[in-house]
Amino acid sequence: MTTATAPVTVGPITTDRIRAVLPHRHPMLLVDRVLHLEPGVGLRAIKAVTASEPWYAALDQDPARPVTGPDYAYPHALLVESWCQAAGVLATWARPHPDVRTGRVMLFGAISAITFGAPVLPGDVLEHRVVLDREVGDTVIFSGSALVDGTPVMTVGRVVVAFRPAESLRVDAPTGPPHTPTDTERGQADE
Amino acid sequence: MGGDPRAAPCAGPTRGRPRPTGPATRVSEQEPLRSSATAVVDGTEPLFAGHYPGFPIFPGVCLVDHVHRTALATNPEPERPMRLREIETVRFVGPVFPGDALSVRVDWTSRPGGWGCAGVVDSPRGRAATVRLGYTSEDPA
Repeated sequence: MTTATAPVTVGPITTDRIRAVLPHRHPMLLVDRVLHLEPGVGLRAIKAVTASEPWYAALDQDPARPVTGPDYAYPHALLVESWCQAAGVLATWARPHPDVRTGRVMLFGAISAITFGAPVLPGDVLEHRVVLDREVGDTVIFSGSALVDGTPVMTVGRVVVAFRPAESLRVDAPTGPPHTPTDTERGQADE
Repeated sequence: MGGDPRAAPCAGPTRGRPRPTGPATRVSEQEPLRSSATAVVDGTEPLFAGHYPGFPIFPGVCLVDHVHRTALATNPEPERPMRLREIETVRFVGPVFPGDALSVRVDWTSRPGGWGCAGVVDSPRGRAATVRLGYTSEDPA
């Protein structure tokens, strides 16, 4: 017999807490704020798109070609990445991993049925809606959408995330300077 | 770095773009219409500063983007611009690191109103990703 209890919700979650659970950093940290998070259930998060992101730098460096509105469309790949990072906050809330070189890392294994609507442009604020559909062992399955001003710009049929030992990424991998966790990251990891 | 100049100006996650080996071609009646491209992952790409500090890995979505750029640059109907409608399926199979030489292959399927693209990306260690994309072809302006 179980006793019904009110779900525990969290929010808003600002950049410092997001950085404590995700290993992504500037310019690839593509979630600005989590509005609402219900562990194991779902999340709403926002990402503001700006023309100062590095993806737009090349548009300022080609005087031979006039830049038109569609050239400023936020790249589909980064739209998907941003949504997946929002899903990642939900997936890792109970098991933060701010350093990909240790512990169990979150890997996106498969994606299906992502459809796109109107282009997303600088100045738009994306609202990601993530639903945790299923969690089986080390695998988590998500679906959801992304909206701008209440209008869907992307629907996500299925994203599959797997948690694997960090060593699984190490095949022939180059090495870089060590990443020193911040106090915030250390604090989160100890919780 | 480099890349196809026709694909260079629009915003993208990487400065380097896949370089098509030629237009989409069909080797024989039995073979699909196919495009190919090559790319070298430039370790100075801005994204590596944050993906991830001390452990640079090429983001999987950039492999999807490479297939997408290859498709746009080798559109079999260049007079009809293509718009990405759907990422149908993606499987990320193996990691990609700075300096990796990638090969991209796209097999085209004609569909009502557009094209389907079955793409693969290979790294020196083998298959990195399989990607299926759906495009809508727009009528000339």
